[in-house]
Amino acid sequence: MKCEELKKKIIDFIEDKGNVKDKEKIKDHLEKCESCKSLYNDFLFILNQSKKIPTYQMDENFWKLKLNFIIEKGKIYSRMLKPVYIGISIFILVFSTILFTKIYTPEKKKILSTLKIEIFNHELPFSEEEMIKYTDYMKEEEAEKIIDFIFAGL
Amino acid sequence: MEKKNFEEYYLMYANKIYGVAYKMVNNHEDAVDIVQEVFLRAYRNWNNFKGLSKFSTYLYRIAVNLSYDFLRRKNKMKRVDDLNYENIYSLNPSTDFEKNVKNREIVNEIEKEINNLTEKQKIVFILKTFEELTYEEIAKILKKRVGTIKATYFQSLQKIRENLKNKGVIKNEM
Repeated sequence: MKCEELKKKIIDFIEDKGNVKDKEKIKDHLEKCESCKSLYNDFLFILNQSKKIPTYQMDENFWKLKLNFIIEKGKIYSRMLKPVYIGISIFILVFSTILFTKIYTPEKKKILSTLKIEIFNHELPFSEEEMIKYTDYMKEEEAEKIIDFIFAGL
Repeated sequence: MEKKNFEEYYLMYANKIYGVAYKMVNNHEDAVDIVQEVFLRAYRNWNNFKGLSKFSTYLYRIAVNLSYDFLRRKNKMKRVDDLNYENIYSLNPSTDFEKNVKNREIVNEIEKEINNLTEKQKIVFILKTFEELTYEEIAKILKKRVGTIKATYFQSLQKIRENLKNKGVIKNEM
């Protein structure tokens, strides 16, 4: 095992993880290599000493007091959000209605229904050649599909 | 996970989140604020959680992000040494540690070096060493690849080692 490979596996070795074969290789290497042995000992030392750093904790009653505050604040937040959601919904509804009425005017509605009737009666307002011209920028296959679809049965 | 269990999970994780936040910001009040904010967000999204593992990942992730935000705002970490709160207690005040001054100095030096790590190195070190999370769990929390977390953890140990060597806390190789 090379030093670089050992460095990749040294933490797993400290944590007693990894397979037996690797562990044996690491042990062999540590016996031979002073530099890696020093790295291993130092890491082990740092991790063991780190565990001695006090972990501060709070009493359960302290957290229970905070919980009331959290729940209360959470409820206020939801109460505040409700009117916002309603406002946004109303805005979207009004906006889409206005937009729809602007686009779908009675005049356009009439034109569209006439066009529909013309298509239905095979009386199209454009020729097949024209259609090909307009669909020229499309891929050939896609254009053909559209044309076939429109002129199907003509 | 039912709504009524929120308190249960809150009490289960409050101290864990506090521990991480405290180690990140080194200040009791700010750590408590972070815990409150974490659980407030969790409370608002409570109905969206499907499993405990996802819930804990979410809590740690929010705690990490809020700690980052705090550190950036403050632009420096401050240490509160006078932890005289009645309801704070040390989990592992081993008698050896308290008696042995030299040992305490070493631990203090290591703690200082942990605080000298970059934000990313520090959070990986805290989650791995103190919270004893797996690389996979940390990767999920920080949204990084497992390989990146492993490398960061190695780098953090390497950096602490180098700095302790420079200070003479760890002997240099012969």
